[in-house]
This record gives sequence, structure tokens and C-alpha cells, in this order.
Amino acid sequence: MNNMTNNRKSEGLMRNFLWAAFIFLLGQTHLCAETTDKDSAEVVNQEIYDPLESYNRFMFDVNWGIDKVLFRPISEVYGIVPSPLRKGVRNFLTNLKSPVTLVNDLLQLDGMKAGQTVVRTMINTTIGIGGLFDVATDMGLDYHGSDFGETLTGIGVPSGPYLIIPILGPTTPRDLTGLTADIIINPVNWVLWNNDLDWLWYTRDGVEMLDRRTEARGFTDEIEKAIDPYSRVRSLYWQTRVSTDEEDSPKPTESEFNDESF
Amino acid sequence: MKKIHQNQQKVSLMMSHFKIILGFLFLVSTQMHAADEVKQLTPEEKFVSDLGNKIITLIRSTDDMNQKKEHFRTLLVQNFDMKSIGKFVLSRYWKQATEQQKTEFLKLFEQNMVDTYTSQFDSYKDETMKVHGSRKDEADGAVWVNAKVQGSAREPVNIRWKLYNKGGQFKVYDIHVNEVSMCITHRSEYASILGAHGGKLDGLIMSLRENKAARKNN
Repeated sequence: MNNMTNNRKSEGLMRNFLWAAFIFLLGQTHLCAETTDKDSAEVVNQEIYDPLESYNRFMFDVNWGIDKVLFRPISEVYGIVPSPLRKGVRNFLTNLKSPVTLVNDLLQLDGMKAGQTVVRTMINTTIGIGGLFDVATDMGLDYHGSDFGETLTGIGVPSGPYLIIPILGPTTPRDLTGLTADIIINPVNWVLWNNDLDWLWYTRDGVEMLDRRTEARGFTDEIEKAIDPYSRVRSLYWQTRVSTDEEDSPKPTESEFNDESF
Repeated sequence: MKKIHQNQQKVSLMMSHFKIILGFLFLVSTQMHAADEVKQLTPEEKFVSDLGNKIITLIRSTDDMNQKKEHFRTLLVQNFDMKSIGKFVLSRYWKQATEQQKTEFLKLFEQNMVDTYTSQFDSYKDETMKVHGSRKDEADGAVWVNAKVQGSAREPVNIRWKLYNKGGQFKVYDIHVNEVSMCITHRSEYASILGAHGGKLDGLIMSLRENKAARKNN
């Protein structure tokens, strides 16, 4: 009984949150349209939509500070664990998330990917001993992730503005909605929730964050040395999660083939 | 009791199906690997494969960091079209720049690339790069070569190299690492710095100079 009220409560909460995110998102779409009308010569970074830059920069610094005193030291400790062991943990957590990947593969109408997810999960759960070993990749069946943020992108939902949120960092209203949806559609979460195993839920998410942070050590060290770490991270995020114009890159002009002077 | 027995039968039937699927997959994947090895590389693919191997050899060498940096700079200048990349990175600011600013910027940009990429050398150990296919963009003659970097310590990384044949020689114009473009990343960061300096190229040049000095002291 208690479980049921809890469930209803959390569902209500999630629904409210989703609505808030959706309304926020709708509110942003006309802003998107406005910026494209602006004189494009004035906007060098026209592909990145960041109207909340001053707030974002502030939150970026806050997160960076928290990371420095809390997450980075913890990840240094976790880094002492031999990397094959850490890889096993990572494989296990990735395998555990495959229902979410499968649902999104299907929502994206990608039968090929859905099939890969099913076969990968079958192989890794059995031969890979509960997912600890990624045998499927060794067989040539590579991993891919699918999330609800991508599903929303696929049906044409606009990203909304770039947003830095506390602790979790860079996102957009679209990805934030996707993240919430992925939590809701994960059957593993239903099992944990219905059996009062919240502590397992937190442990799993905690270990996953810790592992990601530990893997990103070299990367964050380099980011820190960049001239403008904020815009470096923003560009990386935007290119992986929002921008679709991947052919935008340098090319030689006709004259360049002949003319070598400046 | 009967039901349990039926279920057991079902499970064992499922398992045998499963074994057949697994066996089939294993066969397919080994065949795929075999096909990979027999296939001849195109000239573009060979260029990327050679360049990748040169960089990996450099990363693994026992030279000190300064020697590695100079060696990497040589590879960069020889194989990348640094002027076109610099021009792209500055976008509209390139046209407004004086000849002196362009020269100064290109020199510092090259240094920034060298610093950025060599600083990550230490995180590589037993990585190898394998080229698997390429695609020609018929519209503008660019060739995209697909490669994958694999090592025991990290997740596989996909790298796509964008090449043009410039006067009979291949030149790299961009690399996409897991769908992140090197050139767009630099352009985006520099645009932000230029914005903070009121669009003045000298402001960016100053920032690049400061960054170069700061990295040297580390």
C-alpha cells in the first residue's frame, strides 16, 4: 500500500516536471525562430543557442568548483582500482541499461539497432556473465546507446537553449526531458522502486557517475588548460547532442589550389 | 507439475535456438574480420593509416615531451592544411585581419594545436588505429576516411578524417572524433574569446600568447 502511494506520488511529480519542461521548451521555440532572423554576420556562433550565457557561466564555475573539492578527489581514489575491474563494472552497468536503449531504438524505428541491442544483451548477459564482460563487442557487435533525448530529436523537437544545471552540467530542455523519460521507462527502476531498494538505485547511479568522472580525467585536465573552458565544453556538448550540420568544415577554395600566397 | 515440465521444455528449446544464433553470429563476425584484412586500402585510406601509425609511434617513443612536441608539429604542418583550417577557424575575422595578424595568428594557432593534442599523449598506452573504409563527397571532392582507435584502457573512439587532394598531395582539413569536429570546436572557442574582446583579433592573439606561456610553465 505504501509502495502504491509512493508510486503515485512520484508519478505525479514526474508528470509535473515533464509538463514544466515541455512548456519551457515550447516557450523557447519562438526564441529559436527569432535568432535565425538576426543578421547572421553578427552571430559567429549562430549554431549554438545560449541566451542564458551569464547564468550558465556562473553555474559552470560552481560545478567546476564542486568537482575540484569533491568529485575529482573521489575519482582519483576510484582510479586506483585496476582498469579491467573498472571496465567490468562499466560493462555491467551498460548491460543493465539495455532495456532503455532497446525502447529508444524501437521508438526511433531502427530495427537494425534494436536487433543489435537484443543480441548484444543476450550474449553479454549469458556468456559475458551477467554483463561483466562485453563479449559481443569482441565478436564485432559494437555497442551503441540510444536515449529519449535522441528520440525527441528524431521527431523534430527543438533542443531549446543550452543550459548548465547544478552537478549534472551541460544539457538542454530536450535532453533534460529525455533524461527524465529514460528514468521512467527503465524497467530496472520499476523493480527497484517497487521493492524498496532505493539504496541500490542510488548506488548504481553513484557508481556510474564515479566511473564516468574517472574515465574523463585526462579530458578534464585538458579542458582546464583551454583558453575558455566554458565555450570549449559548450561546443563539444552542442556538436554531440544538438548540431546536425556535420559537413560544416574547412575546404579549399578554387583559387587556393593555384594561389599559395595569403 | 506438468506446467513446470512444459516450461522447462520451452526454456531448453529457447536455449538451443539461442546457441544456434550465437554460433551463427560468431561465424559472421569472424568472416567479417577476415574480409577486412583482405581488402586493399585506397590511397586516401593508406595515407590516413600511415599518418595514424606515425602518431602512435610518436606517442609511444621514449623521447621527452619537448622532442615529442616538435615531432608532432612537423607531422601537423606536413599533413594538415593549417592555413585553410586557420581561415575556417577565424571565419569572418579572417577577412578583416591584416597580413601581419594572419601570420601571427597562424603561428599561435599551430602552437595551440600542438599543445592541446600532445598534452593528451600520456593518457594513451596500447592503442591502435584501424582504417575501415572511406567515402568520397562527389560534390566537392572531399574524402572522408573512417578509422577506429582501440585500446585496453578505453572505449573505442571513432575518428573520421577529411582529406582533399591538393596539388597531388593529400592534406587533412578536419578530423571528427566521435562526431566532434576539431575545427568547429576551435572556431567556437575562438569566437567566444573574440566576442569577449569586442571582436578584436589582437585580443585573441594575446589570449593565445598567454595560454602558450601558461602551458610552458606547467
